Formats: sequence, C-alpha cells, structure tokens
Amino acid sequence: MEKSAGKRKDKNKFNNKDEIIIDFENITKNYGKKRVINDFNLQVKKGEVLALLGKNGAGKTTLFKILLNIVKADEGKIEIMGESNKRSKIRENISFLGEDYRLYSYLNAEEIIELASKFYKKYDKEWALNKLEEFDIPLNKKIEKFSKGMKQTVRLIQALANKGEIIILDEPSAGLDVKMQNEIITLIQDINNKGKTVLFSSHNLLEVKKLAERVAFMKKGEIVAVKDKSFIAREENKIIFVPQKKINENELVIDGITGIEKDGSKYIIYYEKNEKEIVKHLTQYPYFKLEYGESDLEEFFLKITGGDDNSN
Amino acid sequence: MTILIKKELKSAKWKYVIFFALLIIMAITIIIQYPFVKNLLEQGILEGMPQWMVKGASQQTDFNVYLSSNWFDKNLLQLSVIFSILLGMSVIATEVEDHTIEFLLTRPFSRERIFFEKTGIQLATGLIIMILTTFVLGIISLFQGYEVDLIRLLIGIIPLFAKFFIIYSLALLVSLFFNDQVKAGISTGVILFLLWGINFIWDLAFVNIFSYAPVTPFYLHGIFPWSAILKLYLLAFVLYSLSLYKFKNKDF
Repeated sequence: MEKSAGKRKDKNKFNNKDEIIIDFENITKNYGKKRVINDFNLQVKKGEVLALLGKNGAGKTTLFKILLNIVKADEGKIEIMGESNKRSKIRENISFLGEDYRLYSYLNAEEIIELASKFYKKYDKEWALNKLEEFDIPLNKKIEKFSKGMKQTVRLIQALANKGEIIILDEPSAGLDVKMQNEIITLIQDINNKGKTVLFSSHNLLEVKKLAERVAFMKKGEIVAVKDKSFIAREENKIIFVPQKKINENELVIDGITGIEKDGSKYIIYYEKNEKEIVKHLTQYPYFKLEYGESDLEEFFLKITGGDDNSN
Repeated sequence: MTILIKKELKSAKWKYVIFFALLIIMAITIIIQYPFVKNLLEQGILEGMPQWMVKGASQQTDFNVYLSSNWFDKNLLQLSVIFSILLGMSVIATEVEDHTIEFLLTRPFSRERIFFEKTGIQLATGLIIMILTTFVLGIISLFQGYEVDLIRLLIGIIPLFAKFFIIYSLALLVSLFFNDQVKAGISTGVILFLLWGINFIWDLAFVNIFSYAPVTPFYLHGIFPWSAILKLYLLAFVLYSLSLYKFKNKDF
C-alpha cells in the first residue's frame, strides 16, 4: 500500500498553512490489466467544498471506494484527519453517499434512519426524520415502493444526519428533479456553512458551479487540473465572432461590452448587458461565425472530456 | 444486542422459522411413525431384501436405534445441510447482489466485526434451532413413554453442528468468489455431491461429510468420537478463516 509514498508528486499539494483533512498520495488501482486510478494525488482542505469532475469512467467512484476502504488501493496512501490506518474508526467522522449503494428495501424510511443511527455516536436522528418530512417522504412506507428520486433523498438524508467532519457524496443529485436538486444543494451548503468538509463527484456542471470552491478534473484515473473558485465563478457571457474582413477592435465596442480578446481572425467578446444590441451591432459586419461561447468551466470540462459527456 | 445482529435476524427470519418448523414437524413425525415401522419390521417386511439393507433396518425395532438413525443421521442432517447452504451462500452475497454491502462497509465498523456479527448470529441461531428441536424430540419421546437419554441426545448435536459449520463456511467462501448466491449454492452442492461420489467409488469414507463421524454409535454406545469431531471442527475453522480472509481483502 505504501510502496510509492516516497515519490509523491507535488502538483496538487498546498503550500499554504491550510489544514489538510484528506490527503491522497500516489494512489494507483488496477482491475486486472486495466488501470483505473493512476498515481492520484490530491489534498482536501478542512471546511472546503471540493468537486471531482469527470465523465463516466474517469475513476471518481473507485476513488471514493478506496477512500472508504471498500476497494483496496494497489499503491499509495490516504491520510484522513491525520490517520492512515484505523479506517473503521475514522469512518465515525465520515458521512458517505455512494453512487451505487442501495438501502434495505424491506425497511421503511424511519427504520433506515433508526438503523443508520445505531452505527454512529453523533447521529442526529431527529434532524433526519424532520428533513424526511420536509421533503414529503412517507416514513412508514417501505423503500421498495419509493420512486428513484425519493430513494436518493432518503439515502442522502440518512448519510448527512451523521454529524461527522467529512461529507463524501458520489453524484448526490443523480435521479433528482431540478427542484429537488436545488433543495439538496441548499442542504449541502447549509452543512458546509457549519464548517464541514464536502468532497463530491458530479458531472452536473450546474451543481458544481453552485457548490464547489475548488474543482479537480479527472480523466482516466488521473487529475488533469485543479481549478479554484475564481475560475469556477467566471461566468461572463461570451460571443465568438469571426468577421469576413479585418475590423478595428474599437469599432466593435458598444455599451455592455466589458472586454474583447483577439485570437487570429477570431474575436471573443465579453459582455454583461445589452445582448440583443451587441448582436445587432456585430451582424452589420459580414461574418463567417457568430456564436455564444461556453463559460470557462464548461469550456474546460468539454476540452478535457472531449465533449462527449452528459453534462447539464 | 448490536444493530447488525438485529438486522441479520430480521432479514433471515423466515429461513429460521421454516428450518425450525420443518424440524419440529419431522421430530413429531418420527415419533408418530415408530409403532407403524416397528410393526412392519416385525411382520417380516425385510424378507428377501439385500443383506446390507436388512442388517441396518432390522435394528430399528429398537426405539433408540430408530430415533437416532432417523434424526441425527437422516432428517436433522439433511435439513441442516440444506439450511447451512441457504444461509452461508446468502449472508454476504445477498448484500453484494442488492448493493447494500456499501452501506455496511462505510459504517464505522471493521470488516472483521461485520463478518463475525453477520455469520456468528446465523451459526448461533442454527445451533439453537438444532438444540431446541432435538430437545423437543427427546421430551415428546419421554411423554410417549419411550426410554431416551436426553443428555446423550443433546450431546449428539456436537458432531452434527460441526457438519453444519463446515457446509455453511464452504457456501460462504464460495459466495465470496462468485458474488452470486445461486451460483454459490449450486457450486457448494456440486462439491458435496462430488465428495459423496468419491466416497462411493473409492471407499474414501473420510471425504464424505454425511457418513463421517455418525452420531448413532455414540448415542447407542456412549463412545464419543473425539478425534473425528476435532477434525471436523478443524476443517470448519479452516474454511471459516479462509472466508474471513477473503472478506477482509475483497474489493466490493
């Protein structure tokens, strides 16, 4: 397990004095001949919300399973709250929602909460039952009779009711409608505001934008980039404009445009208002291309995934 | 009682109820049938039958021979084999098939604790059912006016539980390789059938768990087969330990 701990790569390591709550060091995992996690390094700061973003098969779920010791890493080391062993004791402080784990279908929602509460010292059963009622989940109905969204809500609430320090959520909004997604995002934000660390995976960009303070982009079991809040928050509206003839940049500027970048014959026009007037203004010039650009996060995500993911 | 034990009892309750009910029905049936069987044997029903069959069956006019051979070496053994496979093949594999194993493995319990509590309660419940039903068999026999040694009857469970433990551990171990309870159950059955077949063909009695260390000689003559029973328990512990090792190191 600790074969390669000494050759740690520092590209994702913090240099400041932030308290590190989870530290992945050179994690590698193979399933047969296929490498699913490749020399993975990442540090999670205490109290932050970090999203793992990547398309299906990037290794997000396997990484969480390694973190929780459901799957054993072939190489590398994980420290959680300063401990690399005693994983069962550390799990007292972890609330986990797995992507494919299910609840006991022969139990009802109240029994699930009762069952989950018996495993932890700091489990808030009252909170969980109140939340279930808030989300209109019938307490005495068996899980097998629930819709997919209701099951996901129960799974999430039973996980979040453990008042540990670390929340790990694998695709928390999977199977939920937009209204429920927003409510769940608010719920996770509330928990994070109480100082809890949230590590979650998603390929729902909207969820990532609303929740994450940092995003780690995963591809083929590796971290390909880690971006911070300033990058995620960059949401300027963009128009990609390629005129047929060369135009002086100053001629393009009208009210609402905040900046223009020139890239060869292409102009990237950033604006904050007057979208219709700006488009009307641009179309007076003959052009090859005029289209709306993606936000930086979407653009980057599409770039690293090759644009073939089901991102929202 | 811990939460895991309660959950385990709840999830397998119907298996225990059916195991218990079938054994009680069989215990009562054995006692009720005895006068009828004895009468047939005394009327010479065995005349003309092969010598090896007559030798064993003719002794069943004695109630204790009849009781022990029908209970320990037939009904209780057969049902124990079936239920040990049913319990062993499903105790972990059901959680894997239903995707509930992650729920358990992400709780602050060690894998050892999960393993021992889940399997321990099944083995303990199996043993309790065997003791209770054997006790009921003894009590009903006494009430019917037959002379039976209740203590020796209960001690007879010791080798039988070893066989239950072996088959349970074998089914559990196989299920950890297949992650599928049906495949695990069938494979365990095939392994036991092959061992039974080898015993027939080459007279390797010790590989046949069904005929090895029978209870009847002990029950009738009081000679307890310590050595054979120790070997049975040793085999059970080896299989159980291998299952624990596999469970501890398995990726789910």
